[in-house]
This record gives sequence, C-alpha cells and structure tokens, in this order.
Amino acid sequence: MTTQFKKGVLELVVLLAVTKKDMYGYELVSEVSRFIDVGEGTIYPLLKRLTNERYFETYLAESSEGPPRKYYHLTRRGSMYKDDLLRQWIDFREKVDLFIKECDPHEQK
Amino acid sequence: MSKSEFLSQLRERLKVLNPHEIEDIIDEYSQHIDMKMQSGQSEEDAVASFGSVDELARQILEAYNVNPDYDKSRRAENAVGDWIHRFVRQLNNVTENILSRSRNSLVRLFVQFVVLVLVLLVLKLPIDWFFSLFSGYFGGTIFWPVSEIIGSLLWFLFGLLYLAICLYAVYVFLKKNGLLSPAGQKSEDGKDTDMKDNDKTPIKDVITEEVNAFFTSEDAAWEGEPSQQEPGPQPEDPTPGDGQEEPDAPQEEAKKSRRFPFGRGRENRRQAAQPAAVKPAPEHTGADHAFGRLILFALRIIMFFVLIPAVFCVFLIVVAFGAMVVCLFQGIVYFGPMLVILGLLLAAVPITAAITSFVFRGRAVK
Repeated sequence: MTTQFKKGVLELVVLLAVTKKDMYGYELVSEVSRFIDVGEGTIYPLLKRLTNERYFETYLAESSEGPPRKYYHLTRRGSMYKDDLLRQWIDFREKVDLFIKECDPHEQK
Repeated sequence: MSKSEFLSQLRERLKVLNPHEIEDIIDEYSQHIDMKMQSGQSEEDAVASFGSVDELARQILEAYNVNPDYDKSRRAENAVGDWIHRFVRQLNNVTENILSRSRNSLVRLFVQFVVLVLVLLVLKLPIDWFFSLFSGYFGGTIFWPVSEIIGSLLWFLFGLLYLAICLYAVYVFLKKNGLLSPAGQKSEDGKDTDMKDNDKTPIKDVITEEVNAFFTSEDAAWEGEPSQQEPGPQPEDPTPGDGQEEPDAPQEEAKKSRRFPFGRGRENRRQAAQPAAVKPAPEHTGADHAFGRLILFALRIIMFFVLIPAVFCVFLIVVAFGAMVVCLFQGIVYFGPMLVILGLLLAAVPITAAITSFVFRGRAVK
C-alpha cells in the first residue's frame, strides 16, 4: 500500500481503534500496525493533532509496571467526526468499487 | 542513535512549543521506546522505528499548526554560534574539572601533559623528515616552478596533518582524563587515579574552604565590637548589683557617642566595652585572633590569587613569545610548534579567568 493511501486512511483507523476502548500510545501503535504497516513516527503526531482538535481526551492512569500511562479517550465530538469519516470512506469505497467494475473489460457487454 | 540522543534532538527541535507540552511529548516517546525495549528490541531499533527526527518534529509541529521551518534561517545563522558555544562549554568543563581534582592528581595530570607536549614535539621530526624526502624527490624530478608549487602544497598538507595530530592527541588526553565530561561526573579512569591519592579533597574545596574561613573570620572581626555595644540586660553577670547598673551605663555611653559621633564617640565605645569585658572575653580574643588570621589570610589570598597567577602568566607569556620569535626565525617549518604555543597562550586566558572567578565565588558563598 502506498504511503498516500495509508496517510489518508490512518486517521480513520486510529479513531476506530479507540472506539472499542481507551488505549495508551504504545498499545494503539501496536494495534494499528497489525493492519497497516506504518511508522510510529506517523501515529504519534496524528494522535497529537487529534487531541489538539479535541477529538481525543487524554488522562493518566497508573500501570502495574513502569510509570503512569497516558490514555486516549474518544470524545463525543471525536465520535461524530469518526462516524462522518466512516460514512465518507464507505461511500468513497462503493464509488471506487463501482468504477472498477465499470472499467473491467470482462464485465462489459 | 541512542534513546537519550534521540530525545534531546527532538526536544531541541520542539523548542518553540510550551515546555509542558514538550515534556508531555518527550515522556510519551520515552515510554514507547522503553516498552519496545522490554518487548525485546534493541535500543537502536526502537529509536530507528520513529524514522528521522526532522520528519517527526515536522509532523508534530504541524499538529500544533506551527510552521516547521520557523527557525530555519536562524538555525543556519546559529550553527557557527553553536560551535563556539560548545567549544566554550568544553573549555569551561576542562577548567571546572581541573579545579575539582586533588592536588596530587593535578600534579600527575600536569606531568602527563608536559610529557604529551614533548612527545608531540618529537613527533614533528619524522614528519619533517618525510616532508623533506618528498620535496627532495619532487624537486629532483620536476622542473622548477611546478616543484615549488607542489613543495609548498605539501608543506601545507604536512603542517595541517601535524596540527590535526596535535589537536587529536590533546583531545584524547583530555577525554581520557575525564576532563571533557561535565563537572561532577568522573570517568572510570579519573576515578581510578583519584582512588590512589592520599589526599582526596578536590583542590577547589581546599581553596573554597580557605576563602570561606577567611571571610567568616573577617565578619567576626567586624561584628565583634558592635555586639558588645548593644544595651540590654545581661543575664550571665556574676553579681545582681552590677547587673542592674550595667544596662544603663552602655546606654548613656551610646547617647554620648551619638552626640559626638566623630570625636569622643569612638573612645566612649571602647570604654563601654570595658565593663562587659568579663563576659565576652572569649569573643574578644576570638576577634583578635580573627584579626591576626585576617592578615595571614589576606597575605595568603594575595599569594594564591594575585602573585602566583600573575607570575605564572607573565612567565608563560614571556616564554611563549620567546619561543614564537625563535620559531619564526628558524623558518616556516616550525609552523606546528608555533601553533601549539599559540594555543598555550590562549589557554592561559581561561585558566586565569577560572582562578579569578573562584575568588568571587568564595565571596558569594559567605
């Protein structure tokens, strides 16, 4: 997958990942990189940006080992933004799929 | 790149942000690297997975709507300044470290340095020999103007080589003796040599102690007299009768002295001190003693901080200039030693600066 594709979709993937439960940075990075091979260098700034735009809230929680971790929580605003992005993505994907079908020479009669 | 290097580079590039935010970011990245290392990755790999620091910092700054190139031109301008700053800091480290050494290790250090300089001077011989070999060869085989040009080029190259060797040797010497690390941290080598010393107090502490002792004794000398002038009940008086009269007497004397502040006041004060002499006797002798010590210390301070450095510097400068003149007349081949001597001359300045800064620090402590 090219970097451009990844970058566009990464925001949605990160938002979706946090929908299930609140996560801390490392957890989120490992979760996301299971599906998309992306450098940590890209995810953290993205988290920062989403937090600055108030799609995420952060809070510190003690962990059993090591220092307290910073957890990311999806806000209501973030949730709405995520739904919107998801709708756009599905819409976009359907259109692209349709176009692929149209352009496929074997399907054409 | 190690974790600490990575974090400090990142911190440097994020300087424009709020310090709280920077700490927040640094904490998170540091934790991430720690966790990666716990899961079995090496430190290098964990850091490498972030990609280039520049790109990362750029993306973070963009997340804050900061133009990542905000200080590009300033950074270029500052590059030279940074180098100078770094150099000065290293010099500072060296002087700080020298001052935190004990006397014995300092002497050893000095002897080692002299040996190093001698070795470097001797090293000039084979380099000269090679040079004359080469220039002789070219002079014999190539016609005149070209051989001259190649000869001077070679001379320049050899001089540069020798200079590089000298600088590198001094650098290694300083590093090996732990003089380049920030003061307070000692390298393993430094610790070893220090362990063998009998007298382990750093020379800095010795000097600071003496300076402090000097200034406290001076304070005692100044405060000793006024403290006796204070009117008021003195509970430790031997007889109650005296005790009742006494508080008045100094007050009256004090009034008198206020009336004649310049003439008799001084005498009165001394008289006022007389009746109370029984009690504050130890203090009084302490002040006398302190006065004696004051003179003694003043002499020693003058010796330590004025005469010795001055004589040392004058000596150094005279010797260095003499050597420079000799080198100049001996011809251009002695370029290397001349530079070393120039370096020594320059080194004399921070050393004297360090010594004088000591005097002022001692004063600030008390």
